[in-house]
Order: sequence, then C-alpha cells, then structure tokens
Amino acid sequence: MKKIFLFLVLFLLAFNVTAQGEGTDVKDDSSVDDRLEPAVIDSQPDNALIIPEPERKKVRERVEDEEVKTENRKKIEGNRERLRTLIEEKIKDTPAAERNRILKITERVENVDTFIEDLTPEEAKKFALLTRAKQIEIARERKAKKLNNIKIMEVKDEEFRVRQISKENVKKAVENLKEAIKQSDKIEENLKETRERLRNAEKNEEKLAAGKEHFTNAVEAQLTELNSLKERIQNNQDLTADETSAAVERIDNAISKLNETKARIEAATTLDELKQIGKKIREYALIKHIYKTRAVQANICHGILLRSDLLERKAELALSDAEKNGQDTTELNSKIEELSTLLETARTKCAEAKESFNSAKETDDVEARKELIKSFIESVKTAHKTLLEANPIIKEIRTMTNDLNVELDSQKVDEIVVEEEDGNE
Amino acid sequence: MNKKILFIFLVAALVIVAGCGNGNSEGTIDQSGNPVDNADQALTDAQSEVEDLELSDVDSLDEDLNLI
Repeated sequence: MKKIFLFLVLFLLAFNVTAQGEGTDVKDDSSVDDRLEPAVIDSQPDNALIIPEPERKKVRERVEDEEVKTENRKKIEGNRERLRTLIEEKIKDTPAAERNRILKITERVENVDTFIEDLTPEEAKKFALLTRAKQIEIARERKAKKLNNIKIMEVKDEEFRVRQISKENVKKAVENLKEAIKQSDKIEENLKETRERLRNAEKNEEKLAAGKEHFTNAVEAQLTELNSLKERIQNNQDLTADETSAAVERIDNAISKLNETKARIEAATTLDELKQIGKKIREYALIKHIYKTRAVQANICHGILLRSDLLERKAELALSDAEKNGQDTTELNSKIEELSTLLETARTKCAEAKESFNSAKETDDVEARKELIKSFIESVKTAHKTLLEANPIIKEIRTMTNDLNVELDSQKVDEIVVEEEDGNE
Repeated sequence: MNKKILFIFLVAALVIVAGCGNGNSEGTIDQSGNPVDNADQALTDAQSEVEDLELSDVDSLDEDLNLI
C-alpha cells in the first residue's frame, strides 16, 4: 500500500512539472527588443587572387550600395531607438514580438516615431496589430483617423466564423446550389428553342404563345436557383444571423413574386403585358445575383481573408523568433512584405465589393443595379484571384520557417484587427 | 482506513489531472487543423463558385425583351 502511495505522489509531481513547463510564456521578454536589429548583410568570401574587371565592378557597386544602405540605416537608427522606447511606454501590455513589428516599418517610412507619439495607447495598440502593409500605408499618409474604423477582435477560432454551422451543412448547401445552377443551365438550353420561335414568329398570336412558354421556363430557371440560394445563405458561416434573415426575406419575396408571375404569364393577352412581366423576371434575376455574389464574397472577404491575415501575423511572429535566434531572415522578411502587399490589395477589392453590394441592394434603378452587380462580381473575382496569388507565398513562407527551424502554424495570435464595417456585416 | 485514504487520494488525483488537461485546452485559438492548408482548401472550394458569378441569364432576358 505504501508503495502505491509513493508511486502516485511521484506521478502527480512529475505531471505537475510537465504541465507547468507547457504553460511557460516567454513572449513578453523586454530583452528581446535589443535583439531585433536589422538583418546583417552577408559578405562573400573572396577566394580569387586576381579579380576580373566585371567582377570588380560588381563588387564596387555592391560596396557603394552597401554604403548607401549603411547611411540610411544610420539615419533611421536614431529614430528607431526613440520609437522602441515610445512603443514600450504606450503598449507595454502588448507582447514584445507584436509591438516590435512597428520597428520594421522604419525601413519603409520616415519619422514613424513622431507618428506613434501622437497616438493614444488604444490607437497605438490597434496600429501594432495591423498587417505590415496597412501599417506602412497609415504611417506614410499619417492618417491616424483611419484607426477609428478599426476594431480589435479576439481570435476565438481560426476560421473566424460569425455563426456556428456544421461543415456538413455548409458543404451540402454549396453542392445543392451547384446542382441547381446545372439544372437552371439545362432549362436555359431549352430556352434557346423557344427564343428561336419567338424570333421567327411573324404574327402577334404566335409571338404571344412562344413568349408565354419562353417566360414560363425562364421563371422556372430562376426559381430553381433561388430556392437553393436561400439554403446557401442560411448555411453561410460568414454571414451574421441578422444579415441572413434580411437576405432570406428578400429571396422569399422574389420566390413568391415569381410564382405569382407564372399565373400572370398564363393570363397575359397582349405582347406589351408579356413584356412588362419579362421585365419583372429580370428584376428578380438581379436580386438573385446580388445574394449569390454576396454569399461568395462573404466567404472570400471575411473567412479566407481573415485567415490569410492571421497567417501573416503568425509569419511575423515566426520571423521574430528567427531573429532572436540570430538567423538570416532577409528572404523571409521580404516574402512577408510581398504577402502583406497582396493581402492589402485583396482587402481593397473586398471594400470595393462591399460598397457595390450595399449600393446594388439599395438602388431602385434596375439598370444602375445591373451595373453595380457587374462591379460587385468584378471586385469579388479580383479579390479571389489576389488571394490565389498570395497562397503560394504563404506556402513558401512555411517552407522558409521550417528551414529556419521556427514554428509557423502554432504561433499564438490572440487578437487581430478588422475594419469596423466587416464586423458589422 | 488505508483504502479510504487511497480512494480519496485517487479522486483528488483525477480532479487535478482533469483540471490540468482542461487548462491546456483553454485559450483563444482553436488549434485543430492546419491554418495554411485550411486557407488553401477554402480558396479551392470558392473557385467554382467564383467562376459561376456572371450575368448571362440577365443578358439573355434583355435579348428576349427586345424580341417582343
């Protein structure tokens, strides 16, 4: 019995020590600040006794280039030290690895110290959590006001879901909409035949008969997609409950009006009457496109973009770890900058998309609505394309961090910043 | 007596182990899945939906209205 006791005591002690070890957090070590110096420029060993002229010219140019760089570095060094003190004072609760990211932008923007000096601690914290490209943009333009539209968001899960929806339901809704689009395309194929009849009809009676059949099929095509679109909106983890309700209400209204239209087509006695009904079908088709694009835009501009933003922040923390280890981080640093610039472009396109969506939703002018939807679709496509370009860079960054023996995926980011409007979607 | 003490001790040990386990899983980030691969997958999933975004049916309706 005593032996069992002894064994249990020893087991508990060993477990406790392990658990404490796992919880150790060394992020806020102020001594880390001193180690965040600019990357040391490599120097190639010169093994040749006689250097040919082209090589000599290259070396000379490189030395001159290095001299310019050193001059610039000296210029920013003074400001950098002052900046380091300032950010330590203003945002001392923010982990050093996060706040010291501001030091990096001194290589791109002049007098960052005086910009930070004018910020309140809350603004400085928001600024510290911004992506690098955004920090550069705001500091360069010295527009602290832009920070008012930015809010700090706690990272609760890495998919940034605004609503909890099971993966199965999301997947099913996407697949059902794809299936509905296929069915709708088949109906569109059938419409070619009735369209041809409509074109060739000479008498008004013939036109009316062909037109009735044609528009009835067109309504069916719209209804097929609208019903699945409703499910897609309801199962979208990037749309808030309020926005979902409002969208579903409009889609339901379009479905109900289109169903009424079928009876009106049947009862139509003149071509003009039929034409007016056709215009209404077109109006509801545009409503469908607004929400079809919105569903995709929400996934790209909320879910995927925020996940990419988070990866950029993780990459910055990995970079900081590699710098602490005294490794050459020049390449990693420049890749992060490349990523940051692409994400900023995607963010701009997403903002444009949001603006077009809001205007398209509100306008009563059908022609203006069509043009706004076109811009909406265009911005969403560009944002997606930009994120696709950023994706291989993220993968390269992961390879680089692996080579530098620093973690990327498991870096801990507690807070990120989002545009106020994004959170209100 | 010893059995009672051992029982209490075991219950206490279980409570501590469960507490520590819970503490380790706390935090603000869900560490399940790989963020790089997750982002990659989400982009791929969005691809076909992005391709479907076009106004061809509205353009066709425009054409139809001109035929009447």
